[in-house]
Amino acid sequence: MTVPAASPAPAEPPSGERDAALVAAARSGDRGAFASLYERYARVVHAVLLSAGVKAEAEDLTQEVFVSAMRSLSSLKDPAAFGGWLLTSARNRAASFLRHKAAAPPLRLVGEAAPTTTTREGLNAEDVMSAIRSLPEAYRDTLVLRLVEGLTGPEIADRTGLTHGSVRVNLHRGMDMLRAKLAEVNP
Amino acid sequence: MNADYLWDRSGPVDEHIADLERVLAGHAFTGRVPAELMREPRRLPWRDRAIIAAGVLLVLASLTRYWIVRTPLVPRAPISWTIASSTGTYTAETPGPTKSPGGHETGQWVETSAGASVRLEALSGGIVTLNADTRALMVDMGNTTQRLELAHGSIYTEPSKSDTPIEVVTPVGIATIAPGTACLITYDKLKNGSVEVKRGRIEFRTQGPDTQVTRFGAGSTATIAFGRLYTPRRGDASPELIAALTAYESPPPPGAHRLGWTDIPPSVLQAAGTADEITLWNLMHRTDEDGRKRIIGRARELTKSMWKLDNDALLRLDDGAMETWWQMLESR
Repeated sequence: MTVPAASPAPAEPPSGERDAALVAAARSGDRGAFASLYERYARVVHAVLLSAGVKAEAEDLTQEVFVSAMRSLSSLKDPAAFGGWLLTSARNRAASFLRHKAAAPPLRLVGEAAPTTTTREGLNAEDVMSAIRSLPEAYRDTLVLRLVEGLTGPEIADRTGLTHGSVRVNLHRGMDMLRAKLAEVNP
Repeated sequence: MNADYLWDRSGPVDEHIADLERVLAGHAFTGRVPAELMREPRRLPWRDRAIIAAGVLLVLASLTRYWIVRTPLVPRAPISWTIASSTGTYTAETPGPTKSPGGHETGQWVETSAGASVRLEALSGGIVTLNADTRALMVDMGNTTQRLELAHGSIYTEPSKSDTPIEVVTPVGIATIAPGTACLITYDKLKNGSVEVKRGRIEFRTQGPDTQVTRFGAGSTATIAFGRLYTPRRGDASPELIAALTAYESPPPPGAHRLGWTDIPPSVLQAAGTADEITLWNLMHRTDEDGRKRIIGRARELTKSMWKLDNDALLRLDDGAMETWWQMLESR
């Protein structure tokens, strides 16, 4: 497979300016503005947490990251950099969570296991996620956003601040590597 | 792999990607906006806010009243000077109709009687002795300046640990006495007296629009006669210089410049030797430009290092040039 050449980014809406306006409104107490930021970034935060290795707790942690961000919004120096600031916070939260989880004894689930969906090759979601998590960070974050959260390439670029070209490359190289990993799991 | 489908789901469906999307869909985020984020900040009702504001005002009013009650209407007695010790008898009085009931503090006139003396200490450490038949006012200048007003009599300053100058207001000008100076200033009721500096430095400045500077270094002295401070000279100046200065300055010649005696006679300059630079330096402030030219000429004859100084700057009495000259003569 050949990777398509990175095309010049089309005219994008100024996401930084939009974020800055929402942050300013949220700082002044506008809860609707913060809800807009949440709608815009919740799936990205969730993807970062999943990609880092957080599993069932990812949704709760996503909400924790936002609550924490709302409380410390006044410390954000550049409101236009809200996205990067939030994702850094999510990565730190994931690392902290995984450290504590590793130290705690694992919980045993009791009861009947729910039926799982598998690929045509018989791989379940956890198999695929494990393969994705074994990829380099740039590829795994982009793939989770695309395959799990359902964002398109332009949406990923808009939320993460990457160029369209970078997202395209991450998607194609990530998919190639994922195919190879899955083939190793289920030859 | 269908690149368009991978990019934005356009074009023909890529079966493999669609299969992965289907399996992973269960992991997608489904959460709603947390209620905590949507909750409006808690605000106190108006009634509660009014009660709190009233409470704050009440506390402020109480504090203000306490401050007013505690603050005396009469300013506290300043403490720049204190009487450390005394011999003989002296009186201390507060100017105005109210007499001090006891103790001696800044703001009071101190007057010593015959044979008495009073030793004053400044807050900053300066020490001044009021000798017999002296009347002086202890002036409050905080702890940055120590000031006395000398009406008449004799005061002696001695070197102390203080690094703050002492100012003595005298009828012939304000004397700034540098730290570490030992000197004696006398000024009697007939307006005669003297200044003697054993060590250190004193500078007198007359008050008014035309300030005259008279500076004393270690070992220098000057006479005060008829309310006028004469030119300083070495304490051991030659009889020729003393005679020439006396003839020149006393009594003032008719039509003399009001700040001094403009026409410096050749006898004074010729009598000045290499050790008499203090006299030449002070004469510069007491004459006109022609006189200054002749003084500088004589100083160059006596001291070769004078070439280092800017002639024009000296002629116009430039502060920097005159200070440099002073430091040079002090170091010799």
